[in-house]
Amino acid sequence: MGSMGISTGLKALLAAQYSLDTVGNNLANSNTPGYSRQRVDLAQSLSISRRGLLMGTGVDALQINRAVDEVIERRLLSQRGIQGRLLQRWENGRELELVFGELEGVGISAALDDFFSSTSALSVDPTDAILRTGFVQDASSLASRFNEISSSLTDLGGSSESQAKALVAQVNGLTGQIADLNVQIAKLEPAGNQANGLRDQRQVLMGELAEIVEVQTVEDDLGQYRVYVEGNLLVGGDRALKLDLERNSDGQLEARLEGASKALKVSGGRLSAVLNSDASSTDGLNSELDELAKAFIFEANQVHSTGISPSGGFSLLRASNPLVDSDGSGLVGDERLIEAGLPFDLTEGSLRINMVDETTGAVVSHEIKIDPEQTTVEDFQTALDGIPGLSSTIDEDGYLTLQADAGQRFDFSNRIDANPDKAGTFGGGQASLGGELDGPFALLDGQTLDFAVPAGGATNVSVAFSSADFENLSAATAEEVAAALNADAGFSAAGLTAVDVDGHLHVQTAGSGSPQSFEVAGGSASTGLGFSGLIGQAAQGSDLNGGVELSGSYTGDGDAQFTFVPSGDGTVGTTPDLQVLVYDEQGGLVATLDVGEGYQPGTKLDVVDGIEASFSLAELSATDNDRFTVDATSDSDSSDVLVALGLNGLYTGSDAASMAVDERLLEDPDQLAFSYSGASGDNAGLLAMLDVQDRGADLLEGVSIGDRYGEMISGLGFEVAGLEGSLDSSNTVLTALQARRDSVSAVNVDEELVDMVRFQQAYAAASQYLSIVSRLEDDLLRIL
Amino acid sequence: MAIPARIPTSASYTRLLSGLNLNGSRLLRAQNQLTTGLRIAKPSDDPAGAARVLGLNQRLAEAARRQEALLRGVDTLDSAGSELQGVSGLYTDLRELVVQSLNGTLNDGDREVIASEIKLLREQLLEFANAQLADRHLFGGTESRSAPFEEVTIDGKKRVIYKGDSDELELEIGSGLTAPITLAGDAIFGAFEPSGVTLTGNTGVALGSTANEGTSYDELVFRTTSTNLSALTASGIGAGPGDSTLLGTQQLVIDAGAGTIQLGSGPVTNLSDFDLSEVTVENEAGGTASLDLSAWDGADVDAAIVAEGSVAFAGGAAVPIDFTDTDFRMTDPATGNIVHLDMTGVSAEGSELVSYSGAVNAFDVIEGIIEDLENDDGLNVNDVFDRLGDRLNELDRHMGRVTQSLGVIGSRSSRLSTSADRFAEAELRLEGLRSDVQDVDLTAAVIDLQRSQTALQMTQAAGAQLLNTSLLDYLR
Repeated sequence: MGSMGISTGLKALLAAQYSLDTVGNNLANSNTPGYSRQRVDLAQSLSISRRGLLMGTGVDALQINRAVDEVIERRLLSQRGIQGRLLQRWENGRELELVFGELEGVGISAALDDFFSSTSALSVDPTDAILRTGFVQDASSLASRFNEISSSLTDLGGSSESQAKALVAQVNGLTGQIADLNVQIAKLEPAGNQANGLRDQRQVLMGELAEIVEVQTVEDDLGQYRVYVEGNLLVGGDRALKLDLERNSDGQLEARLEGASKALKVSGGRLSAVLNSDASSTDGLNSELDELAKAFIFEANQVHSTGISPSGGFSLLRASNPLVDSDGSGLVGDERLIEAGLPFDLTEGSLRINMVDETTGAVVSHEIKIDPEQTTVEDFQTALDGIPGLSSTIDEDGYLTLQADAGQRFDFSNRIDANPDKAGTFGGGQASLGGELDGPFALLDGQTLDFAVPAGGATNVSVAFSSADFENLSAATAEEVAAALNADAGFSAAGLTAVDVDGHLHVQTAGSGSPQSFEVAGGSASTGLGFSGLIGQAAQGSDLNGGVELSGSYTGDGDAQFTFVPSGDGTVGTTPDLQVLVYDEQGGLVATLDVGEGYQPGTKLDVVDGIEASFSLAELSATDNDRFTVDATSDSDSSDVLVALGLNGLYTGSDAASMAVDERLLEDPDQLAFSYSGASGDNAGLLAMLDVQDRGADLLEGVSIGDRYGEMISGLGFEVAGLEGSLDSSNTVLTALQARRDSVSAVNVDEELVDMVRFQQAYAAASQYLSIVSRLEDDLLRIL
Repeated sequence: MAIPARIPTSASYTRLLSGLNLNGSRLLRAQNQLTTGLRIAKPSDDPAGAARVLGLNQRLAEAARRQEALLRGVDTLDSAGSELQGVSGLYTDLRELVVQSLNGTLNDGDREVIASEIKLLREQLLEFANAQLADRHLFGGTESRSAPFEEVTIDGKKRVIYKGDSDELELEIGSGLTAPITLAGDAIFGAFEPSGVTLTGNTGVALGSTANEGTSYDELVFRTTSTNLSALTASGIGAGPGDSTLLGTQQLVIDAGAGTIQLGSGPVTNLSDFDLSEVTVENEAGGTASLDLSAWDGADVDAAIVAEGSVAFAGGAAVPIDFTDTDFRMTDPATGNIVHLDMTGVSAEGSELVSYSGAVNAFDVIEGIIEDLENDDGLNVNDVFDRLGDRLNELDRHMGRVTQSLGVIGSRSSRLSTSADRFAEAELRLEGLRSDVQDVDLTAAVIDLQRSQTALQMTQAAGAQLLNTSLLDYLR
């Protein structure tokens, strides 16, 4: 026996002592974050054989263990990554909701409502100065709302960059500390120790790291953590790789590992939310907002650009969008309109320009055909300059300016041409004869058309057509034929002029009155031009120099052309059964107007689609093929070239940030152009503007502005609400995991107290045992 | 959640804390809803509901603005209506004055007094027609900025021309539906539907076969330029000292036996009534021939007198009359008015009032009445009365027009009011809908608040209990 008992007792005493110390440490750290409950591993000492008996030699305190469930720890880490990402996204979303300020009466929808309210108020009294000012102000505050939200969104994008920077700095700090701890743990543990405290510390740091970036960990033989982000090593043993932030070529923020060639893909944690929000959330909303602003500017300008202000048309007008020399040739003119850098798309169509004489008020309408794929800036400018009384310039910055000659004004309205029979080929006093065929005409080089002036006399004018004057003589247009005739000296010397009336060639005397007469005497071109049946038929002038006056406004859809011809020969208001027949472009009869006996000249008659006509005293002749045509259009700028160039727009700019009410209108609300007829109090433009609210917008694939905005806001709401839900459930998971971790690792004070009592008693027992062993030794010595 | 085998002490604290947080935030939310009255304060509170609220807000704003616009439209119509009431009264007064003036016992002076009264009425009418509401002219169609009726002088006569347009200002009363809120002035006071030309006078002229065109009134003045008595020379009859006013070819018949003389179809007169050196015979149209019968041979006479003459239209140059022309065209370059005349019946000089029926505006009718009453051209009373009769017809058309306009205004106004009422109802309904979506259900919110409060108290109580238990209490 001897000393063995003492050693057994001592070991028991020590084991109790260590355990009590550990209990003390557990109690002391019961509230330390990340602390894992420790236990002393006790094991029986090796038995020794004594006289054939295997005898225990007491207890050994092997080591002090942490109570840790690695699986739960790992799941906790990944859950914290998920949680961090959700939290960050939710915070961002809440901030965006605040920016839009909807449902608080300060958002875009309230500004839109205000805009349409003042539009409506103005439509009751379009010339009221106070209402006009109010409209401009509401239009302006709508633009300001767009501007403010756009700039707030941009700021949020910027703040996400600074957030990302802070997060990356945090990551680098954490990985550095983890690498340090790795080193210390590796130093301590090979000696057989468990570096419990250091491991707990490292776990805490890992938790913090996981909230920022989702990481995976592997522990190596030395107890060091290798930390990976999406398979890329972030911390390897004693080395932590630095994380950097960069903007890629698309201007998007990216994280990049030290020495890596590619950007680091981050899918979890706060950092991923910040990086992705920079790419999607704010930018996405910003571009949606831009799209909305652009659509609204387009619709509003479409309504406004063809309007006329109460002070009349323009004498000078400057575009607000510049033409760009996109091929870098140094010239703007050679750009096709589609590639001239305009912010809005053009469509194939036409632009109506009305020239108004300031003194007489006479209106002459011109139409420019535009095919954005074909028409170049130069073509467009040539067409503009070809309008009598109008000139255009493009300054060095690419802005187009239109200017009217003195005494003239111009506008782009769709009003009906009140005097469409300008040439007098319908009821004018000139002797006039129209061809029976519709152009283009098949002519041969050298063919002639002969005239006798006056009628019945000898043939004294013969005009020969030369292919040099035509683009294609075998398909000569009436316009070309008329130009060739008018260019002939003999023709004009005989007092004749030729005009093109919607593809038909008309020849008439320059003077008017009953003495005027002429006839087509023949010529080889007479068949081709549709005059063969009229040879020898005298065209006689008339002292009744009357005609037709149109009024009303066209209510039909799209563009239409109406041709008016008399049903027979006779005098308005006098000849029995005289009618005027009105045909549409397809040749369909759309109206028959009784203008014969019983018609009071000057009485208005309804024609078609809101157009009215009144005929004054005139002699009409079906045999002479009297006719005139009138163009009616519901959209005088079907090409949208005005909107694209920013001519006479309500707003300038083309996105949420640049949207602003045109300076011209801010300075002088009287310049608001909402009259389509030219009358100061016409509200047709305002009624069209009210339509914009509910009408499907072209640029939004037929969705209305209000609906699209509602979608945007509820989309944001859905996102935030969805995040709230995910955050809730992620929280539940996290709490559950935490509870499970705690149930393994956290300290239960009662349990420790029980242990304390237990080890205290063990200690007391061991002491008692030692004293007994000691007494046994004493007794033995005394015996000796 | 499965209860883990070990319960760490911190778990109770954590659970207590999260319980307090949860119930605290529920209480806060309930409190928030109760104080704002809103269930949805931000889109994420209920995104689908928020989208509906946005849509409803838009429709509410739309209903409100439509209602406001319609009520302002009603204001505009009512102002126009009250102006027209005034006009109607003015016409009644005017008509009474004209009827008074038709009394044959009045002399020129009396008529001039009436004319000056009517002048005042005309000016008043011009004020009515140029009436303004705020800065807007009510009767200018859509040309509301400048006065629609302007007085001008044409051919030396006061005329009023309409500078407005015939369009009407329309208001949206529903999606794609519009209703007019004005009545263009030319439809009320203007030259409305032309209905042909009438000639008032005694010259024997008639309208030609071709249609005529014009507005307002014109004056045709026929004058005798020369009288050819050569067919009478054989009988010893020559020109008398007076002016001859007959026109065209007239047969002079003297029945020597009966001692009577007759010109054309004029009255048969006894020669004994005359001093033979100055005999004035009159034809059926009042055209006269002044003859000197002092050298008459006493035989029966049946010979033609041929009088040449000229005609002037609307103050223009006088042109010789071709008495065979059945469709003689006269135009006034100043107004563009055209009349076609049948000259075959012209038999006396004098003036003819050309009235473009239905195409005379109210002011010109009244100005015509004033001209007639002042009678500067010295027409005889019967001619004046004839003309006044014609003017009265025109005036009655205008009175009818105003009455009709008042009816139109009334019906338009009530149509707008009805629409406005409909929008007011819609507004209420929409507000109800929005309230259903956005507003908090008070009962539910109060119960919610109560429940959250109770839950919080329970958590607190449970926590307090829990925190008191520890093994330490029992270790000595």
